[in-house]
Amino acid sequence: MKCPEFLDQLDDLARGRLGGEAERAAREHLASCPSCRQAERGLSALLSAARALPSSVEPPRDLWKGIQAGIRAQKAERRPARVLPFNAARFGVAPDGAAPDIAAPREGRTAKARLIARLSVAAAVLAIGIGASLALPALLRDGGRESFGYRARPVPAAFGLSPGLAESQAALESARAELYAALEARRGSLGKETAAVLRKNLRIIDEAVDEIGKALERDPGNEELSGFLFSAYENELRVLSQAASMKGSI
Amino acid sequence: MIGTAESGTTDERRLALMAKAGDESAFEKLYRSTAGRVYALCLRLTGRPDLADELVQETFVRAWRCLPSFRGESAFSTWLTRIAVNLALSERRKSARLDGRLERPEDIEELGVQRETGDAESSIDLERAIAALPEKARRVFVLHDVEGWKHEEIAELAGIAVGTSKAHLHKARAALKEALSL
Repeated sequence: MKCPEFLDQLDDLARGRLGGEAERAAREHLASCPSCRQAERGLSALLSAARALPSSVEPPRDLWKGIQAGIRAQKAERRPARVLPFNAARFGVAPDGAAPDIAAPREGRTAKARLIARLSVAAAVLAIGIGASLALPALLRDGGRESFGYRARPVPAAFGLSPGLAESQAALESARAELYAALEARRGSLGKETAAVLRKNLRIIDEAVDEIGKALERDPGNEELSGFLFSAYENELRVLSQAASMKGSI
Repeated sequence: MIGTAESGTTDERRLALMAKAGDESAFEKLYRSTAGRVYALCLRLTGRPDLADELVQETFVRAWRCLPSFRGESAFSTWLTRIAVNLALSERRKSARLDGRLERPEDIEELGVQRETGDAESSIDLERAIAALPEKARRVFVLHDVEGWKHEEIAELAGIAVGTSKAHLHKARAALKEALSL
């Protein structure tokens, strides 16, 4: 065995992890190489000293008061969530919180029209993609047979939201269901790639909402998480609104 | 001894579950039983008693917040040390750190080191030498050679390559051997 090979195995030898033939060969090299013997002695002494260090060192002062203050500050932050200034009309919802009637297509289209009027277009790249695909010859417009994967989300109570926020979430959920229905209705007019990108993006948002929801279940009333939840809903509604309302629909 | 370790872990788990349900006094008991372990780790990782104090407090406050995610699959103290290491390695701490050197040798003695085994003098020498290491080399040495972590774990937590972790360890060991005349 040569020195570089021995040095590669020195760590394992010093920790007692080498066995059998490997250990025999290493020890044979040690016996004949002063330089490697010195390296082995040095490392063994260092590791031995490291192992002998006390595993516990009492802090010089009691830190509990500071910790307790930190814990109580956290508890104080978890006040009942204030009602976010949710403008129901932005999502085509009547001021009293009534959601668009999904079963009534005419009213659904009216609600959708209000959404289109109020929501700003944020996903510019997606919009361009959708627009380009709508210019494709009919033969190439095939959003595929796979649906966009709408599924209703858990009831607001599971998220630990306050009554005001729960009402807002219910309204968002209704708008979401309606937009999904509109999107499904025109699946055939979208290009395959665009539909695939849409499905993927909607799935990503869906998973994000699921994660935030689980976090809210563990930390109910957390304002920051509630904010994330509503941002995710807004993003989703923007994407759905764009996809469902672009020009070029059949 | 094994029975003691097992009953200690069982007690910790029981207290952790009580703390998870909001029992602050149970959490205080957990603090009292694990603070020494966490402080030792934090002191060695930071090289500064003031930063170690701060880090210990942050660790326990963060642990309280994250209790809902503690499932009892690992020992509470193991889970806690992971939180401490995460905090110690987080970027924002860099700006608060100086070179990580203890200015006065007597700082080590003031820490109330509990000498369980071996030569007290050499233990203090090693603590001082570790504190004098460059920050990255110190972190890797403490986690690998003192705490027993693998390079893969260190690399993942520190956001570095395994090879980089090994290089830091090599540098740390060389410096420590020279400092201690080994």
